[in-house]
Amino acid sequence: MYVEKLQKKDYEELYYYLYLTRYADEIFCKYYKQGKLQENHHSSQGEEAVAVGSGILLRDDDYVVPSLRSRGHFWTKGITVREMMAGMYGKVTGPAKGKNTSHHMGDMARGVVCGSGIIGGALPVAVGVGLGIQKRGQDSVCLVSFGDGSTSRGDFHEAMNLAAVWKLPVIFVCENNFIAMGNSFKKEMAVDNVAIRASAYGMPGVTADGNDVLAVYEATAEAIARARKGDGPSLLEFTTHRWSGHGVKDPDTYRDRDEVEGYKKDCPLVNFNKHLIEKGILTVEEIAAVEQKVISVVDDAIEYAEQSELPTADIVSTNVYA
Amino acid sequence: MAEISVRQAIREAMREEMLRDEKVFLIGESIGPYGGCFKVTEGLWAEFGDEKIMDTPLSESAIVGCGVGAAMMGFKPIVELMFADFVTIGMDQLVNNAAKMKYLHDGDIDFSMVLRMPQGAGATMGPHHSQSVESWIMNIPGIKIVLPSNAYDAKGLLKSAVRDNNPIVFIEHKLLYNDKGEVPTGDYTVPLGKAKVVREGTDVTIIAYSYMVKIALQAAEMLAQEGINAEVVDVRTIRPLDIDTLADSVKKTEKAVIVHEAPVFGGAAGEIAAALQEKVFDYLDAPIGRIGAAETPVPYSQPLEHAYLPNAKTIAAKVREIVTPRWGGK
Ligand SMILES: Cc1ncc(C[n+]2csc(CCOP(=O)(O)OP(=O)(O)O)c2C)c(N)n1
Repeated sequence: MYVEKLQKKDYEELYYYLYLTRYADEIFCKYYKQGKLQENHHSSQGEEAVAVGSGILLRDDDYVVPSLRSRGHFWTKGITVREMMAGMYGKVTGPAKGKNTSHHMGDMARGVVCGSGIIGGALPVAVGVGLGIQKRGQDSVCLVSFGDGSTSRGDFHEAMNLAAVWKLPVIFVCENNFIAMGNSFKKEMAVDNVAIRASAYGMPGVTADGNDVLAVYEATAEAIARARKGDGPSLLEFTTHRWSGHGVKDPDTYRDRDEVEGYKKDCPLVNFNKHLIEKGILTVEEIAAVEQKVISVVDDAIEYAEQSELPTADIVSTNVYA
Repeated sequence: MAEISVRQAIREAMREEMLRDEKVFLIGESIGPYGGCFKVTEGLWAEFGDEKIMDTPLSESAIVGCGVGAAMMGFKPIVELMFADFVTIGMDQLVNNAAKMKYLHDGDIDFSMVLRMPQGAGATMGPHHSQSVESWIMNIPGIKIVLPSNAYDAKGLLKSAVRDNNPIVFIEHKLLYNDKGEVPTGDYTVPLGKAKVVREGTDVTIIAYSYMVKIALQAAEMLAQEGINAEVVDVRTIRPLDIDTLADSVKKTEKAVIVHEAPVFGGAAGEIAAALQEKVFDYLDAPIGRIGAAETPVPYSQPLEHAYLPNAKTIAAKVREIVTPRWGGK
């Protein structure tokens, strides 16, 4: 069990990123509605454990390809809250000086590969990053994040197959919230789960509870160990639920209210918080201190973003070509 | 007559065509209870149910290809892509199947399919949800391309498209969905392949389509203050292109500026300019002007997006450049 090796500071870190994802998300939703932000946000409330529990395992020399609801993958790879917040505000201090949105930002130096607004479009790119790792002879991995809906794309099939044939160190992480915009899981696929698809490509497929950050951690650690040894890719499916509409503006009128309220009873933060207390890993005071730290980091980021300048027209045509 | 939005006009066209012809049905992502990404199909699922309003998995290639197969079976699918940017995924089906079926069966085949999709920037939606795609599709014989600029045309053109026996790419502009205009209740059509003079003028012809018609009209008002009387022509269908209407206007004004939102290089303006000079070379008093977006991906942040896009001022500036006599006037 990889989880057994976790130290107190690791637990603190996990809780820090979980709480950061939640708190920043609340700010993004609120500020977007107030018209302060330029970037349309897709809330990850209720789904935080997937990106945090998997992303935390990545080393500096690993790569991640985040998706629209996986902010935790940015934080855990060292993208600062300041950068992300500036991006939400559309400021010049944000990703690519305002040319790119924050949820698709990339920074190869920190191992963050630019995602794609074309759902599924980043999966083949992740395979190419895996190929690069293999050609360089590194024991790094590339973790790519996507939703259940994305697995209906041809690119998903092609990427999974190629990664398996070439035994590339790619970790396919599916954040299964059982919905794609307005389309429920049963309308998306005729199989019962996403992980079962792995067998068609000859790679392991695992389903774990995406609202249990330690279950996410354990499954990811195993897949990463396998990939580092040169044994190839894995498909990990983490089940969770979307608490709000697809985007901030979506009133989510097409789902049953009781059903959605029910999801909130299985909160990844509450679950982890309870675990920390019950096992005596952290005290209530220690948890509160982590939360306080998050709040001050986010407050600082808001101030930074608000004081930053908007980009100016003169940069619009720079860096189209080398 | 009623004042309705472009969104409502498109919805009404689809609704009326489904009621008129049982072969017509809709396929797309989240077009059912969700009502579509831009709420164009809102309410239709409640009225027509799963059989006619078919929610699909997130599979653009399968969606477009499925439209092709269904069209060959004599149905008349109206296929929706959430954003025009995603046409790249359906491109193989569009280029290699839809466009060629008529030809490969030497005409002996049913093929009625409309592929609807919203395009355009101006909503800080970033580089993958803001592109203008018409010129990507222009170089495919066998496909018709329609780009309405207002509610009346949107409804009438969509009805014509549904009734046409060809694959049609129907490109909507996301910034036009809320624009209201007078639309007759009941059935009418606007013919495909016919441009329209939307503002009469004598000094220069501004040729535009989709959202840029609105901007061109704004530019024309600005120019009118300076005594430049611009004619504005809405292309409406870029393939087939109604070159005659455009040429007639330019014969009158002897000058032309072509405007679109896509970047200029490789854009529709190049094709239109070439076709125009073949027809009206002897009438032209100045080089034909082209206005489009910057030669860059669509940037996300608003000041950059504004700098990227053409606007009434840049159009007016181009017109001034062209109407200013270059060789001392004639
Ligand atoms: C190719 C493509 N099709 C459609 C969309 C519009 N879209 C954005 S997110 C989304 C739903 C994605 O569902 P899923 O992959 O399950 O992720 P979730 O939103 O549930 O996190 C859709 C349909 C898109 N961006 N790209």
